[in-house]
Amino acid sequence: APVLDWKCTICENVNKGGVKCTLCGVPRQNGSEEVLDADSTHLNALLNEMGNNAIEQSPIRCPICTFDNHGSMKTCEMCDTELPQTPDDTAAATSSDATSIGTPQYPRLRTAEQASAYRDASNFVTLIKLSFRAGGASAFYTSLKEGVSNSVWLVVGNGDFWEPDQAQSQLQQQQQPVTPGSMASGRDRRPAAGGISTIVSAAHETERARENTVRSAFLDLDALTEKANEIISMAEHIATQLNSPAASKLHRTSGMESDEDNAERMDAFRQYLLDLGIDSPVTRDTAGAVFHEELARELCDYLENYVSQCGGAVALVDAYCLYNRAREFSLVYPADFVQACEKFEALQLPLRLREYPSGLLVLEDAGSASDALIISRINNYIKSFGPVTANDLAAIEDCPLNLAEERLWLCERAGELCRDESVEGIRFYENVFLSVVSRRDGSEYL
Amino acid sequence: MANTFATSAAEGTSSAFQFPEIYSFPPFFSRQPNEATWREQRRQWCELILAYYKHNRLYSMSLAEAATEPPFTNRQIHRSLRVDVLRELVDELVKQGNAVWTGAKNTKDSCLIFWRKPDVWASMIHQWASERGMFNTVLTLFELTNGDDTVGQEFHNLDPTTLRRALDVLQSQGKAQLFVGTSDEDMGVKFFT
Repeated sequence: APVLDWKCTICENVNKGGVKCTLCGVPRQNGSEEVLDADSTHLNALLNEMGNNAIEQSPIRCPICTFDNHGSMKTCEMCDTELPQTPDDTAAATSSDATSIGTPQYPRLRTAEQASAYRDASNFVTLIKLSFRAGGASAFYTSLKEGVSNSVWLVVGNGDFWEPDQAQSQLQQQQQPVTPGSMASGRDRRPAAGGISTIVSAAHETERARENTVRSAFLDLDALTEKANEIISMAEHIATQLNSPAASKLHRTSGMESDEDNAERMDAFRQYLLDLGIDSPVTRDTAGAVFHEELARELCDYLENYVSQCGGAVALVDAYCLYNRAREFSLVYPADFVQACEKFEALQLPLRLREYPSGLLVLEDAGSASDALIISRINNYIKSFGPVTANDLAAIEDCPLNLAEERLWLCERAGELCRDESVEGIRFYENVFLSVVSRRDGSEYL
Repeated sequence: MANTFATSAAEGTSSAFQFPEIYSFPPFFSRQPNEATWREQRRQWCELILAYYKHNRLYSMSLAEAATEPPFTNRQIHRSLRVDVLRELVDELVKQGNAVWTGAKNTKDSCLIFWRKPDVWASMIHQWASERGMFNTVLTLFELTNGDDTVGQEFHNLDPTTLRRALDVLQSQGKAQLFVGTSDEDMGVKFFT
């Protein structure tokens, strides 16, 4: 059910439903005039007037075909013959601006009184009667339907929607009867709301908004980078201060018993600062052709301590993450990282990249990661702990499980270990088979 | 710390087979991927198989059944040799001439283990024949392995298939002639010098 409009008795504001006037806040009173929505009010008024007119005006008989035409008709509805005019009909025809098109096929409002009364009430014509004598009705209907469905009256020439205050004045300009011709020309001037131009302009709008977002986002990032650089330089500054002789003197005087304690703490603190970042990291731009060599050197400087702390071997992935975290913003590509690592040996740096047969890449300390060392170490474990699984070795050596596995396989390939496969997994034993070769006599069984 | 097992299949002997020390070493039952280690492991297995089959006077092996029994299963350490590994071992024995595949073609499900090679059996039988003056006399194969004359001989109760292979060797050397009877059981043999 439609919400009925009512007029406030105090301020005469027409409200849409509700129990209080939206303008003055006075509650709705019984006496307040209840109205239908605006259009139907005007329609009612018009119909009433029309009814009165119809009664007042006697039909005009066509002199040719004898058809009884409505009193307001100028020409016969049947045969198009001019009807004998009554005086006020002529006045209506000339005074009404809504009937400026004189051709009889086209509609006009019946009387000037009706037209002006109607315009005064609503500011625009809401009821137009059209009659078609020589065809064209269906063509007109199609155009009208299209126009209504596209809301052509809401669209100006460049495809933008109208602002409400503009709309008011535009509507007033448009108060001429709609004819097929004016519909067509109107469409030419103002593309329909659903047309290509609307889509294009909408796309432009989105693009503009996106550009703005991206620009502001990158502004943020630049600011962040700037701050990060500041923080790194601050860290560097503190680190150099800590290293200066004045600072160490300060430690010494700050109390004998906590001296060692302090030094330890300072070392840790210094380490944190160093971990924070790499100042002016090597990039493709700064290093050019020797990028990978330079990167390899930087990697070594940065990772050497870490690798030795981790028992002389670190999975390449871990090293990559750690290093990139230290670089903060100018990250290196994994491929560049691997290429740089491959140069360790040629550059005689203290780290080595080793690829195990399974494809596992590991950064190892050149001094402690030779096969012989690994084998003798694992042999020692087995002598003291008994047979080991990869799990055990990972626990003993504090290394990743897959690395432990690779090391055991390395020993197995070297013939130092042999495996025992069971439901509990693979356990590695000292290779008794090969060690008994030397002391076998064989004749025992044959 | 060698493990000993009473061998149920032993015929005429009650002494238990003395397993080698390696038999209680768990990796012994896993196929070693290292080639050098595997070669040594395979050699030790082959020795063990021949010794065990000789000790228990066993001749044929069905692989699927054998894998669940000693010597291919050590119940004390809960380890068992896989059948495919056992097949690899028998392949090696066949290559050495210490075994032949029997049964349907290419199935490798059963085999004969020659803990003494057929030519060794052949010379042993020929030796006995010459000692007993059996030359130029027709003997049935049943007489040869189960007769009173061969009691106490190594080839007494010899598996018929293995015996046939040994006699084939003698025949190819011209030291014996096989006679086909109405059935496989009453085949005859005549020895020559």
